[in-house]
Formats: sequence, structure tokens, C-alpha cells
Amino acid sequence: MSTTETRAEPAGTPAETPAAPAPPRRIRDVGRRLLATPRVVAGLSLLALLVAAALLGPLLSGWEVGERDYTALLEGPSAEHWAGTNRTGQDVFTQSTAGLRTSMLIGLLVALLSTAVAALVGSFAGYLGRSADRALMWIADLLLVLPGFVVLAILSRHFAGAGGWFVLAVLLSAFSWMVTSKMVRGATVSLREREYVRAARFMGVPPYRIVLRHILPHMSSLLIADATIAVSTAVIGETALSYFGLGVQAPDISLGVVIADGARFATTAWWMFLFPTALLVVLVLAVNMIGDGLRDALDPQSVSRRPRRKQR
Amino acid sequence: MRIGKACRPALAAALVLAAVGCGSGGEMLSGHGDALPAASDLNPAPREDLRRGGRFVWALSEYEQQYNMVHVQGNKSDVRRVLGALMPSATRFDDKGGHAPREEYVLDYGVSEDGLEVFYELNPEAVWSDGDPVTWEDYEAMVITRKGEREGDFQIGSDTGYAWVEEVVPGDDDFSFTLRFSQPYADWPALFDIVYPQEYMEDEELFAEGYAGQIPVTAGPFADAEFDDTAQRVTVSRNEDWWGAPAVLDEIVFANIAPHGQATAFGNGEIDGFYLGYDAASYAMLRGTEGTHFTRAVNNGHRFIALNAGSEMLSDVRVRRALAMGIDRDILAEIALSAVDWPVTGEVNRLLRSSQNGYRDNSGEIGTYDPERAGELLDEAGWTLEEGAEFRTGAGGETLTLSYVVSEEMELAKDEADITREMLADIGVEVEIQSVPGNALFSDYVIPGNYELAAFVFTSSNPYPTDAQSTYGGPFGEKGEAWGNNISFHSTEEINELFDRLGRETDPEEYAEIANRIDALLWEEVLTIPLFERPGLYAVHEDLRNWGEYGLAGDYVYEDIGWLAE
Repeated sequence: MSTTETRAEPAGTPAETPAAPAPPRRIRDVGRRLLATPRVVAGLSLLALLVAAALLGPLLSGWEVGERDYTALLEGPSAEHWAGTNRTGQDVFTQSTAGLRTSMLIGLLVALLSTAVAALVGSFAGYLGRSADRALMWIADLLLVLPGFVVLAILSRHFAGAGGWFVLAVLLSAFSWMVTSKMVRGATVSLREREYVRAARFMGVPPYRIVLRHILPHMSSLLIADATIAVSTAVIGETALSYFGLGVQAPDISLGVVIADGARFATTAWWMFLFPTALLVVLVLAVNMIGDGLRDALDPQSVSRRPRRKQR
Repeated sequence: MRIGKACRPALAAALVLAAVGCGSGGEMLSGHGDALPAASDLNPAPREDLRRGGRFVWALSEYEQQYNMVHVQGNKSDVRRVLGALMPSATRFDDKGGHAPREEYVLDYGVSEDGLEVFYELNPEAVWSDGDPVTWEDYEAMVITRKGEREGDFQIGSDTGYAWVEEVVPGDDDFSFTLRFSQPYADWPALFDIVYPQEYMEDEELFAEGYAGQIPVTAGPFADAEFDDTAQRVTVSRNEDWWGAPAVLDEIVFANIAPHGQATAFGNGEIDGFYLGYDAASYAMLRGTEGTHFTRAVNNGHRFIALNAGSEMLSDVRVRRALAMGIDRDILAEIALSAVDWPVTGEVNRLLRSSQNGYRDNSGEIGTYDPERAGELLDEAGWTLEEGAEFRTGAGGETLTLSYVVSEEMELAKDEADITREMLADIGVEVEIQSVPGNALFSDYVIPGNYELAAFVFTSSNPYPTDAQSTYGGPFGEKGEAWGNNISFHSTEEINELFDRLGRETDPEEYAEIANRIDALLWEEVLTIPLFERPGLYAVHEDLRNWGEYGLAGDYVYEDIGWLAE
């Protein structure tokens, strides 16, 4: 009885094949498979570059975030200002990379928070069933039918300035966990009747332990892939809100703010628009490439296909 | 007549930033010194060079409803743009502030030696579109209604000048009359800036509703105002019964287009002209396009930061002076004006424009950037900077925090607020920027006094600074407690008294002297921090003539606007 439990727990892989690989090998496997996928490598290196830019950019450029150079208003890229300056003489490179940092932080935070909420809500709803299920799913449904963007737009105005971008991240997560939670709930419902879960239940393990130790680890692959994709969704959501002036508020800065600033100059002072927009596109692209590769690597269905093609 | 891409050496010594124009690409232009804007720029052409007919699409930024300008809701510049084509007025100002009777309506007028009587001789040819002649009774009705003597619920916007009219004395016939004043009124040509038919001034309901969403009776070079509520356009067409020189254009279309979209609409040929002002993005978009004329002239307005002296934080004049000294006005002017290649002079006057007699800068010590002195003033006022603290605190430990309201629709205003916040942080004053919807800025924040700082523009439709009395004067003595148009909620007896003297003064030199003294006093009291004279920058189709920036004239000669013949 206890053997079922111990075997299922660390493996964390769908127990369809009894000959599941041992845990350490599996992680190494996934890693090898990931690194063998060109788009993941490309995505990872792009992301590494972006992280470096976000962290070091404002330090390297020689200009401080928000600092204005009144001797260079609306000037194109030069040795002094690598990506030109905006209308009030702020260095576009510094502003963009500083904005990138906030946008990435918000993206990561939202992905973590929303995935955590989705995992907890979904698994408890699926495992407990009955009224708990109905109540939790009712909340999820309610949030799904609310027009998230509009609600965020209204709410963000009231929280602006107070906790800055952190409040915005929390708000964004509050509106982005629902779909994943439904997926998790579906998976939990099927896992609930597995032998090892039933065994644990009959042994008197309390429900929260079963959910946390036996059910959630089982779908870690699903959650990791989903969280990665959620990063890019969150970045886009944050940028869109900030673009309309409803997200990150001055003196905080995010990519959306910088892009909005340059949008009206897109055809005349292209550097104000092009540089931050390119950063956004590359960021979302990189994250999506990694997320895509991760899903393939972790998902047994596609996993079985890919290596075979490689071996041939 | 764009200022070329040449890079000129800076001549204006007062301006530190003037020298920066010659940057790497030579992109930034400076027209300092020798390129001061003209008194007006209408891209003029004689009438005989114009093609008869054609249509002019004119971009306005609001679709107005109340077209009774005497009504409190109707006193808007976009309303005047439309009504200028349709309604009578007594005076034609020139771009330097000189005046002459508008002969289509008033053949002659003048003031008596003692300044207490003004006679009018009307043009008997003038007729309303309903067939009635324009007579002295229409003018009398204007006076009685505007000075608030009529029984009933008439919501009057302003009674400046009319309040001093004691009596309207009829002349020998229907077409002459004399105004009797209780005190001399130097700016009497500003009277009758618009005239409505008698019945619309006498009847309470017609007053409020008669010109709402329609313009039923007209007497101008254009007529037949058609309202298209769906497209938000007002179309007026040539008045074939007009007794003056006939209008060149067939019709004028006043199209409501949001300010941000006007440059695009202009680029697409949907509109033929619009006020560009200091919108850097619009200017950047249009500057290279063929066939666009950018007007360069003095606009009858100035931009400033208003201070609410009625608020707790700013009631101490030392704090207000510290703010004026802690804000580098040259930088704010440079940010706004350099993007549209406008000369930055570092000079501004609240009451007189640079094209006007006696114009000078009265900023003095208080208007000069001096953060050290600003800090001393704040120390004196009891706002001290603790060791290591970022912002100053008062005796009770409260932080010196000011709220700066800014319209979220105006990019320049947001930048100004941001820069002001940084400058004031340097002298230990915290500024909290409050972004509010554009249409709520005045109604909910500035006018009720729910603000401490705000930047905007005052413009005037006549060249006379006496108009500003309600803006800078205050209720003293019997006038009660209401501050009216004074959004600084502060004034002094001396300012009020000088405004009264200004209204009575008929000697132009003395008049300008008093206006400058008032401006200097306003600097002393820091009711506002003037930034720069508003640029008279319009984007106009090259072939559209006699339209653009009219300077101090306050209105166009609508019948002369037209397209250049091939």
C-alpha cells in the first residue's frame, strides 16, 4: 500500500506506463530534450539577453531613469543616447530597459500568483467536489464573465500610486487564473480515483495533504508550461493597460508607458516607438518559445513523437 | 514661412537653454532673437486673387450646443468661431489691438470727451435673416439683458462694461443711439462683440433655448447654419442677401475632431486647417508635408501654472514666491516650444501681448530661477528640511505636499507636471500629480478650488486687459465673498483699484503703464506663474488664404477667406 504512495509521489509523471523512468533521470531527460530543441535554446538566450538588458541597461547607459537631458530633446540615436531621446529629453534606451524590468517583474509575479491560485482552487474544487466544487467554480465563472480589462481599468485608477506596480500585478493575477483552474480541476477529477490517491485517502491522510502532496505534484508539468505561457499573457495585459494610461503610473515606468509615449511619434521620431516595441515583441516571443518547448518536453504525447524523429 | 533648418546662434541672453539648439543632427531649430512671431499670420491674399466658391473644412475640438454666447454655457471659443460667420458685432479690431467700427453694422461710433457717452450710428442696410432690420432696439436689448436688469431667469456669463451703462438713449431714427455710462469705460469698443435679435434677449425661454442646437436668425456674410448631429458638423453657406462684400467661399464646414486626430485628418485632406499649438507629435507629422502653411504669429493667450492661494499650503505668499523661484520657467518653455520650432523669449506678460503697446516682462526677482533663495523663503515660512529628509515639514510635522491636477488628455501638461515635480523636489517640496479627465479639470477641480497647482491657458477675444479683472481681482467690501473667475482665490485691494483705474484710463501710455504695474503686482503676490506666450501656430492648407492666426484681432474677416485661384 505504501509502495504505491512512494512511487507516485516523486515521479510526478502520469502513471500510465509502469516503467516510468526514475526521477533524476527524468529531470535530466527533460533538460536534454529542451536543450535539443532549437527554439527553446533561442528563446532562452533571447531571454537571458533581455534580463541582462533590463538589469544592466539603466546602469550602462550613463543616464538615470527619468533623468532629462534638456540639451537633447527628441533627438535620434547617437553615441550619447543609444536609442535617442523623447520629447522631454529622457534617454529612450534607459527608459525602455527600466520599463522592461518592471514589465518582466510584473509578468513573472502574475504568472506565479495566478498559477498558484489556479492550482489550489482547481485541485481543491476537483478533489472535494460537491458544494466546495460548486462554490469555487461559481467564483471562477463569475470572474470569467466579468470584462477583466474594464474592471482592471477602473480598479487600477484607485490603486494607482499606493502600492505602485505591485498592486497592479496582484490585480492582473486576480483576473487571469480562471481558465487554468478549470483545467486543473478536470485533471484532479480524473486523478481522484487513481489507486494511490484512494489508498492515501483510506489511510486517513487529510484532504489538504492529499491535494498538496499527491495530486498537485502530479501535474507539475502542466502547471510549469502553463505558468510560462501566462508570463507572456501577463506582460501583454500589463502593457496594454499601461498603454492606455491605466496601468503603471508615473514615476514608475513600464514598457507600455514607454510605448504609449512614443506611439504618436511612430512615423516621425521612430526611435521613441521602435525600440520599446521591439523589446516587447522579443520578450513575448522568447517566453512563448520557451513555454512551447517546455510543454512539448513535459507532455508525454508530444515527447514520444519528437525524440523518435530525432533518432531516425 | 517656416523657420528654416538653419542653426542660428543664440541671441537671447536671458535664456540659458537657447544655445542648445545646434545639436548633432542640426535637427532642433532655434529662431531666437530675429524671428519673433508677427502680430498676425493669416497667409493673406487680396480678394481678387481668390477663386469664388469652394468649401473650407475647419476643425473644431468640440461640438457645441448652446449658441447664445451671452448665456453662461455659450461663452466658448468654438461657439465664437461659428457665430463669427453669422452674427453682427460692432467692432473690427486689428492685429495690434486698434479698433474701427464694423461698417456692415455700425457706420460710425465714438466716445465723448469726458468718456461718459458713446454714440453709435448703425448701418440701415443691415437686416436679420427673417427680414427685420437690425435696429437700436436690438442693441438696447443686449445692454439690458447683459447688465442683468431683466426680470426672469437669465443666466448671464459676463457683464463687463455693460454694468456701467446707465442708459441707452435713442437717436433721431431707428439706427442711432447713445450709451450713457456711470463712469468712463476706456475699453468701450469691446461692447457688442455679438448682437442677437431683440426677442431672443427679452424672452426667458428664447434666451435659453432659442440658440440651443440651432442658429435660427442670422445677419452675417454666411447664413443657414445646418447641424449634423451624427457627423458632429455645422455647415454654413454664403448669404446671398449679404449687403457687404460677398463671401468668397460657398460654404464653411465646422467639423468636430478630437485634437489628437486633427493632424491625421489634415494629412488625409479631411480638414483644411486647425490650431496646432504646441502639439509636438502633430508638428513632427506635418512639418515635411508639401502644401502646408504653418502660421507664426502672436496668439492672444499665455500659458501659466495657477496657484490656489486659497488653499492651506499656499496661503503664505512666501511659499508661493518660493515656488515661482523654484520652477525653471525657461525649461518648461523650451520643452513646449522648441518641439514646434517656436522662439523661446523667456518673456511673458499676463495682461499684454508681445505685439501690444507697452509690452514688457515684469517677472523680476520672483520670476527668476533661484532654488537657493526659494529654500530660504520656505525656511522663513516655517517649512524646514530635516537632516536627511527628502521633503520639508512644517511645525506640526506635516509634509509640504502639493497636489498638481493635470488633464490626462494632454501630453504636454503631463510632461510639465512631471518636470515641475522634479524641480520642486529639489527645493524639498513634494508634488503629487493627479491625473483627471480633461472635461473635469476645470469644472471639478480648478473652478471649485480643489487643487493647489494646475497649468493651463488664458485667452481673450479682445485686446483689452480690463477683461482680466475678474481673473485677478477679488471680492472686497460690498462685493461679497464670491471669487467668480478668480481661480487663485486671492487678490489685493491694490490690484482691484488698479484694474478700476485701468478701465477709466484713456491715455494709451498710462494705460500700458498701469497694466504693467498690475502684472508686476501679480508677480509679487504670485497668483499664477506665467510660462510663455501661447504660440499662434495653425496648420493651414497652403492655398487657403486669409485664415490662420489673427493675433489681437479676435476674429476673422469671414467673407475674405477663400482658396487661391489657379
